[in-house]
Amino acid sequence: MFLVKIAWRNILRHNRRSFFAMLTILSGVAGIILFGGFVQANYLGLRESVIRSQYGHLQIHKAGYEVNHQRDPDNYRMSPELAAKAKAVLESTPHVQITSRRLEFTGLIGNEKNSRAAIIRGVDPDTESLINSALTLLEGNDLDAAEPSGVLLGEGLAKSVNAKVGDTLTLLGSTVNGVMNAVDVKVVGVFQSFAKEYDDTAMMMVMENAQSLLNTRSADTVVVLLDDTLALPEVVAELSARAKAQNLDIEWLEWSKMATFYQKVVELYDGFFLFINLVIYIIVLFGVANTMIVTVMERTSEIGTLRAMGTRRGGIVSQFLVEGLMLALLGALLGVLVSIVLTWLINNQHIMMPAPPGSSKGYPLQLLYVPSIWLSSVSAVGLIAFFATLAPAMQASRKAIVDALRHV
Amino acid sequence: MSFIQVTNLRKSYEMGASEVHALRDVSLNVAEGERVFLGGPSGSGKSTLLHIIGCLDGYDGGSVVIGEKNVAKANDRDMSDFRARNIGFVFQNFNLMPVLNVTENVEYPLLLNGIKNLKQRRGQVKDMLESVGLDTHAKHFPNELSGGQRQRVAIARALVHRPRLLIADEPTANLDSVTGAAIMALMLELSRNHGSTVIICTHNPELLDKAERRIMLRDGLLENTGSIDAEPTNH
Repeated sequence: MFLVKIAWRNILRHNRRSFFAMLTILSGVAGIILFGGFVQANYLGLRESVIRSQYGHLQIHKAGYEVNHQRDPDNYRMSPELAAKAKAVLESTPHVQITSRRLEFTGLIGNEKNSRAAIIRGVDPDTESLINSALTLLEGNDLDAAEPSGVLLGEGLAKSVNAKVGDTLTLLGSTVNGVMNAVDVKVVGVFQSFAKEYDDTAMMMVMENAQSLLNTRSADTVVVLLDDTLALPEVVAELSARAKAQNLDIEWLEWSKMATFYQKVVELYDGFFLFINLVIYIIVLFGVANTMIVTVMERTSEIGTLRAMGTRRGGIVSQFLVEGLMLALLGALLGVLVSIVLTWLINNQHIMMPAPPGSSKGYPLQLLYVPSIWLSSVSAVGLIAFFATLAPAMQASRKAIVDALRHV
Repeated sequence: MSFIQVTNLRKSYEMGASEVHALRDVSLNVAEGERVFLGGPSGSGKSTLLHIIGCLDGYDGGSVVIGEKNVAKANDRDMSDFRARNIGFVFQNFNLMPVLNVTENVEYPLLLNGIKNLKQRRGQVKDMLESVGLDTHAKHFPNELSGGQRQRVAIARALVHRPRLLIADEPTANLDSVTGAAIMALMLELSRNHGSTVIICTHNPELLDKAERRIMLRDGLLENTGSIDAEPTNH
């Protein structure tokens, strides 16, 4: 307690120096927390966009689909019975919000002037629109089961075939028997997702019409949306148990295994975050070390007196360590408080960020409150302060007492 | 049996290319409770001798025994503990901790001596401050005190843990003559009450003239005797 008292009073005694040291630490910690909050918000936003515009949380397939569907798609599709059973199991599992079938294939879409290859997704309109809540409908309306010839085109695809809402296009595809087939479809809407590349080739149509074109009753996938992304491991465990109990011939893929773009973004941002952390922590290290070196030099005579009175070397080291740690932790805690206030202010400014690379739309700048980053940055600053103070403190404790007493 | 036995003490410093012999085979004995004034011109070696007897500095040859402690054989930790228990220091520049108030400054040696009970510590501090006439200044910080008051606090701090040895290095040099005399009288009276042996290093000829026992140094040698001081005189 006495050590803490001495340390605190010394911090106050050199108020200007302490202020600037704390300001350095505060700025560093606040910077780390703000950037960390920005990165985490991006992860969250991107994760939910990926899940709610493309992958869902889980995709259920017939067993062997992942390995074989490219080579032999029709044999690894889910029969109507298997899809129905899988849906029934899933819909009775906690946290499962929606399930929806998909049938995916490639085809040629166009009119008499333009035609483009497209990645086509046959969907159950009522449920798919709920799964795809992150898609933005730029024009027209969603798919409707009552209008089976309706299709939604990605923004880029619509532009490339020069199609507008209400236009009729011809879709050419290959049936499961290898026979070319064509249907007329009507553009009912144009959508935009988070990924421009996807929008340049993507098209959605009503499941029954897609099955009719391919001459099949099967589906590739049952897509699952949960009420909480963090509940995914729990759902997977439950699904695994139930599938085994009911002898369901299925396999599943989690969104994170499919979303390679998301994983790359996370890797990139993690790298940025690490680099920025390193730079800031080095600044903090030098800031604290500089302050403590000056402090030790100024207090040389005091050190001599304390040693003469019988304070052990360890006692001198402890005194400076406590002081350095208090200074750093106080600065770090103030940094956390400042970052919380700044996060709140920034989140309320409704600032729009430009579209990130590979994306087709901007997004509102939001920072997350991430207590784990608060804790890690305060801990890191504490650790840095410990090492930044240790060297000058050790040096102080090793000074010859007589020389220290003579120091002016 | 002497409380302090210094035998053939040698100490030299490197000063550039040359070697300065600060102490040359100095021997002296000081009895328990004795009050010794150490005098001599600047550079005579008196501060060096004081520092060695105060266990603040090492030496090149000879031996120093304080009580039963052979100073040369102790490590830094042992010497720190020995100083904390047995020696009190009064410095020319008072050397009070500026961030501690009067009570806390005086309390510090008690903490070093492991007295954990706050009430006990504060009781001892209060008694000590009363004896130096500063009980009304207990909450003051050093910068709120005069030079004389600061040195009274330093005396209280040096004696609060009842050390066997009090070392004072020019304790009145920064005080006017009246205050200096009062401080010296107080220090000698309190040390007598505590039964402490006292060694005071001073330039002040008046103090040396009045000293019960004085030891004069010149060029690292004890004056008059060449190198060996006489057996202590008991008063």
